[in-house]
This record gives sequence, structure tokens and C-alpha cells, in this order.
Amino acid sequence: METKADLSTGDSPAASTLPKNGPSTSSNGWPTGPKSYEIKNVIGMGATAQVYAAMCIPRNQRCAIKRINLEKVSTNMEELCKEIQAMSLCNHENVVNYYTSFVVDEELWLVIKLLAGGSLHDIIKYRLENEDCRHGVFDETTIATVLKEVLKGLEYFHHNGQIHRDIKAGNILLGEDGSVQIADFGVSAFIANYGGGLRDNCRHTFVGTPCFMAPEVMEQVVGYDYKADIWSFGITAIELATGRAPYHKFPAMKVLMLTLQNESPSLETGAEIKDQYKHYSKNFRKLITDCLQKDPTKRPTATELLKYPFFKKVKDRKYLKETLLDHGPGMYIKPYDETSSSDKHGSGRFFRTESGDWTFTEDDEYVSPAPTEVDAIDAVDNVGLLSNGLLEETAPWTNGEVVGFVLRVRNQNRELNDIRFEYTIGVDAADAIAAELISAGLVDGRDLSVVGAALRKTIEHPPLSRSIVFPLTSGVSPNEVPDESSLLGFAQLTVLGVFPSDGTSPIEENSCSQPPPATQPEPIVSG
Amino acid sequence: MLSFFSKSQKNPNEIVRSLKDGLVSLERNDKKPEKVSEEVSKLLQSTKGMLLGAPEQEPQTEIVAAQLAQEMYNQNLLLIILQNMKRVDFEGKKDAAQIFNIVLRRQIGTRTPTVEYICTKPEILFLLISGYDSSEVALNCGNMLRECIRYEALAKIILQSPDFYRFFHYVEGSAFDIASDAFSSFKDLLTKHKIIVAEFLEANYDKFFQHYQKLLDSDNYVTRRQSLKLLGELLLDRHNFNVMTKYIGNPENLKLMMIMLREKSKNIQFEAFHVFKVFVANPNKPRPILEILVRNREKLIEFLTKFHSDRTDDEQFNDEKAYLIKQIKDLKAISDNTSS
Repeated sequence: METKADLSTGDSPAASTLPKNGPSTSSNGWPTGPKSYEIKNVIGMGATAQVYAAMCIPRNQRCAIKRINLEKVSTNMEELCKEIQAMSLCNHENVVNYYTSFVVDEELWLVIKLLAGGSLHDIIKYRLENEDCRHGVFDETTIATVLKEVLKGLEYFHHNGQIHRDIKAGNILLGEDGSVQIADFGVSAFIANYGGGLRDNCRHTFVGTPCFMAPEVMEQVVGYDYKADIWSFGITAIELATGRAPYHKFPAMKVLMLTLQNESPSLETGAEIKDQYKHYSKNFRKLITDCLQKDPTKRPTATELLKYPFFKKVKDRKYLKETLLDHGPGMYIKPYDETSSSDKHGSGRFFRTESGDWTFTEDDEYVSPAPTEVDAIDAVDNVGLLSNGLLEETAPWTNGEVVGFVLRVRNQNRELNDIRFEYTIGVDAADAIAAELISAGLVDGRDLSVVGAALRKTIEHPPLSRSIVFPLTSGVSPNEVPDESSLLGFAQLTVLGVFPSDGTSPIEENSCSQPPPATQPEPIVSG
Repeated sequence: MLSFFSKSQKNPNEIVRSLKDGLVSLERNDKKPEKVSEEVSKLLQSTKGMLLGAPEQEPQTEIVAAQLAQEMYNQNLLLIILQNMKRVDFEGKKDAAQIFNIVLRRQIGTRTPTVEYICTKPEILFLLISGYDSSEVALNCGNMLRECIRYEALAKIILQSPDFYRFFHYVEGSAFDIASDAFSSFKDLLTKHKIIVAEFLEANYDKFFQHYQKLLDSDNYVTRRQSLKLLGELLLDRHNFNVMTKYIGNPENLKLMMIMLREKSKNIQFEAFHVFKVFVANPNKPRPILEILVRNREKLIEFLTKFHSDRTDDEQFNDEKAYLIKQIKDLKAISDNTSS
């Protein structure tokens, strides 16, 4: 097991020359003030946190910064503190490196290693969209190589007496060199997924991941232990082969029921064609069956799993770099995909299933709310003001640019949802997107015109704060009082970033007029 | 179980001595520090294994644990470990902290021999506190420190020492993980042992609240929010009745809470409410407090009526709010009576 502090894994050799223990510097030489960091593009977003790629100026080293809005962590501050302490006591090559954390106004900034390869979930999505995955997303060697690294990280957690609680492809990140690290340890309850490309995140609202949950966790058995991670690991193994968690099609309650009542899932559980995953080996199936035993005591430990014959075929990170990264989407937004943009529905590509429905059922992390009664298409016609909402003359963006948005709004159960979508300038229309959000059951039909108007306004005059809050026509439930700050009777629309139509490098979202920052800024010599 | 031929499985006396030698050698920084560091980490790991059991090691009997502890006292090993904590590698530090905590929890009947031992070596506690000065050991030391604070005798030593006031500095540190760890130790010190804390607060009221004021005024959002919350908990604890009475008799404190009720942060407003309510609910309000409340009567009623009105599901809060509004409404009569 790696035990030595490996602080030179970053991009810069300057790291080791920094003075240790300065007054505002943590032990490993990471500064604890916002001025030392240059924030770049958003790389992930959740209900209480955003993740940015950043540059640590004095170290001349890239990093990722999670900015957690502490005002939204209402009662669990102490829990959050504990989990960050636990994270900083982790030091393993398969666990995302924590560098430091500090408070900036009402935000907690968590500085961690930047893993530019994105998550395996991103890569799976990309493959599913671009390749024929009927017989599996990844070959067995790739799967074994990834899973072995994940197991080494899990073994470390478990030896430390820690439980990850959210093992899934979305939390397995890849470094540019093909290294594999587990992310979001501990803070997963507070911080949304990290590393998802924007496009990928479009499909997410962060309502938990029941598909990966062990039966004993669902039953809320008191004091479930690290064996719950082994279950999730088994589900992740299926996900890496088939591209989906076994019950990804079902809403959360149904997933709970299926997991508790049915036989444990296998590679074939989600199969649509007979024998489509036939070629996966017995050794692989044995690993999955052993991990997915309902009795947690029967599941092997991470250490035991590492000795399984399945892992005899592993290769090195160079192999992963070739098989996963050289054809993958990368962490940043992928180049505009011509095949999907030719979709006659125009704006819906980020949400749609292959059949063009806005149902979200495709996504294993999203639990689809029941569709509303309102027929959105009728609403579109009746309102009549749904001409193209875009004024090209005044728009600060140029045609073909893709703007990432997130609409934060309460669903019928009054839970806050983050709905991510992209808007292609010159192609999409604000009101058409609003209508699609309604027909997908994500927005109340009564809010058609206000959502459309908000979107149009934001496109025409991007707010300096990146975000606007606007009142909803649908108002509040009988027992609620409208409140802007808690989004009762209000919704919030945020511009995540702008992406040129042709490139992979996103433009910083709050400085649209500036040229995109180079991926490798000029080195700044530190004292 | 112990094999004479295995170098790594020594008896308790040998292992403690080897550890001590290794640590002293690290301190002197003599020959091959990497090699020694590696050896020290191995020794720590096998010591932990002796106490806890490990994958290929059964936990040892009570007799071995007792021998190990006794030898640690004799050799002053706990102190030597702490003095050299910085020189131990990452995993070794965690093992060291775990060993410390296991040995600390040892019981013989109702006696806790390690606690008794530390009472005779209070420098162990002060070393742990100063661990917050160096970030590479801060969290490990914090872990051990909170384990110590669970014991009244040890918490009392800290409360009675000038070192206690160092916490006011540590909880405001710029690194969040360390500052928040220091805050949890600080909070444990002030909440775990009610009787000695009440005595301490009464005896050191002025000095303590002078320092505490700085936390409430801090620029750091987290410090402000956490210290305000803790203040509420301290004042509402029955054991601290005298301290509460003194605190809510001071009009400056009332003014501060009224300012904090209007902070931008909803969470801070909410915590301020829980301190503010004590001033209003006090049946024997001193005159200066009464005057402030009466002077601001209309504004307060209006403010409170709208205050966090979205918290519809929090029944207790709404009851308390309604009670405060009623109390403030009734204030006028009192002041009329006194003035006429």
C-alpha cells in the first residue's frame, strides 16, 4: 500500500520548493486564500456546490476547487467538518488528493486534485452516444484494470475505518495519464458529482443514487458497514460492462423495491437483446455475483476481491489512457456533435433518449417525476408569443456557441431540482426550450412563459452575477409562503458557461468578451 | 503466538524500547532518516496490531496490553511520540494517534490508569494543543486531544491552564480543516463536563467573554456561525444559569444579538434568534435591557413577524417566535406603569 505522502503528483515541479507552513498555507504548501487561485471554467455543478478548474498561482499548478455554499448546508455543518477532516486524513494513489480548504465569504473552498480525464460515467455516456455498445461498453481487460484500482482505493478506506457510501462510475475519475481515483469520499452527501462534463451533467438532478444502494442501506439497518461499498462496487462492475446500473429505468421507489424483492441483479438484468453480454467471462460474473450477495457478511472484502482471478488480466494506466482517454470526451465539453444537432427537435439533445423523449429514464441517476397534466404543445400554440426568442443583433454570443444553463426549481414534491441544459445560439429558441421542460414534466405548465422569458432575458443580457431569480406563475403550495432565497414560488436560472461551437476549450463563463484562457497559462514564478 | 524468529513480532518491552530508540533517532536526525522513519512506522503498525488485531495478527491478551501500557508509562513513550509526531510519516501518524487513544481508554475496574498517568504529565495535553500550530500534525493531535477531553480530570487541567485561551486563536485559522477541528475540541471542552465548565465560566466570566466576543465579531463566516450557535447552547444549558443571567443582563450583548438578527446570512440570523430569545424571555429583565426592548418595540414586532416566516414546519421555532412577539407587545404596559 502506498503510504508515503505523494505531493508531487501535480503538474508542477515547483511544488517542492515552496516554503512549508507559512501563515496562510497548509502543510503541503497549498495556500488558504482565494487570491492565490485563478478560477477557470465550471466543470461540475450540484445543489450546494460548484466545481471549477483552477490554477494555483504561487505553485503554478492546476487544481479543482469545489465551492460549497455553506448557507445551503443548514444544519449539518459539523458533519461537513468531520467529513472534510476524514478526507484530509486520506493519502492514497487511488483516492482523489485533497490539498486544502478555506472559507471565502459564505463559501467553503475545497482544493483537490484536478483529474482532467473526467469520470467513467462521462466516458460511458460518450461511448453510448457514439459507438455501438450492444455487446458492452468496455472490454474486460479495461474493466478489470479500472476495478482493481478502485478496489485498492476501497481497501485503503476500509482499513482506515471509513466507508465511501457512493461508489459508482460517476465517482471514479481518470487522470490524464490513465490513473484511477475515487472521488467524493465522505462529502458525497453534501457535494454533487465532480468531474462530469457539462453536457453529461445536463441529465442529472442530484437526488441520490438508489441504483447503487445495498439492500441493507435501503432497509436502514442500523450501522451498516463497509460491505455496503462492496455491493455498490458490484453494481459499478455491471455499469462498466453494460453502461447502466441494472434498474436505471425505474424511479427510486421502484429501485428500492426491486433491489429488496428480486434476486440480486446480474449483467443480464438490464439486457434488451438475448445474449448481448454473453462474451463476458465466468471470472467476471463470479466477481459480480459475490459482491451482490444480499447478506453483507457473505460479500468478500476489498482485500479478498483483489485476489480474484478476474484481476489476473489487468494492464497498466497507459493501457487505460489508450482505451479510455484517447477516444473519450475529456472533462470539458465535447466538440459539438453534428449527428445529434441534426436532430429535428433542435434543442433537446441533451435530455433526450434515443427516441427523442424527454423522459430522463435513460439516466441512472435521475428519478423522473411524474409528468404534469399540462399539454405543453397546446400551451405553446395558445400563448402565441413563442417566436424565436433570440435577438441576434444584441446577443453577446455568436451563433453556434453552446451556452450551458442550470434551472433550479422545485418539483411537485417540493424538492429542489437542478435541471441542466444547453442552448445553442442561433439554433435554439427560449420558449421552445421552456416548452420542452414542461412536456418533460420538469416545470409546471403554468410557468411556461416566465421560464421562457427568463431564458430569453439571460441570453440577451447575461447577468453579471451569472444568475437570476424570477417569480413563478405557479406560485407556492397552500402551506407555503413565497420566498426568494429558498426558491419557494421562485426559480433560479444560472449560466454555467459558454462553449464555442468548434472547440473543446470552454470560455470562462463570466467574461464572455475575453478570449478563452489557454489551457496552460503562462507560468508564474513563485518566490 | 509470538514467534522468536520473527523480527517484527517483539514482546511489549522490546517494542516500546525500539519505538523509543527510533523516535529519538529521528529527533536527532542521525543516520538514514528514511530508513528509521520506515522502521518507526512498522513498529507503530505492529503495536497497533498488538492492541487491536490486524489482518494477520490476533489481538493480544489483556496481559500483553497491560505490559505494553506499563512500559509506555515507564519509558515516557506517549510524550516522546508526541514530541516527534512531525517526523513520523503520514500513515504512521494515524497509527500513533490510534495507539494513544486505545491506551488512553484502558480501564482496570473503574480506574483509568492512562488518565491518571497523564494527570501527572500534563505537558502531554499542552503538546496536543500546540499540535494545532503545525498543520501536518494538527488533525492527528486533535483526535487524541478530544479523546483526552472525554475525561473530566484531563478537561479540567486544560480549562484551568492559560493554554485554553490558545483555542480562540486556533479556531480562526485560515485552513478550514484545522480550524474546524480546533473548534470541535473547543466545543467539547465547553460542553462535555457541565459542572466544571459552569465553575470555570463563572470564575473567568470577563476574560472568557472578552475572548469570545472576538469570535462573534470574526470576519470568518464559519467562525461567526459556529461560535454563535455554541453561545446559544452554553446559555441555554441549565448548569450555566448564573452565566446566562450575567450575560443577558448586559445591554451590549443584547445590542449585538439584535445586530446579528439582521445579518445577511439566514443561518446566522437563526442562531442569533436563539440567543436573543433568552433576553426577551427573562422574567427579571434589568432596566437597561428593558429600555432597549421598549424603545425598539414596534420595530421588533414588525421584524419578528416577518422573521423566517418560511420555516413553517418548525413548530418549536414558531411557538417561540409567537411567544417573543407577545412578550414584546406586553412590554409597553410595564414601561407605562414604571414611568407613570
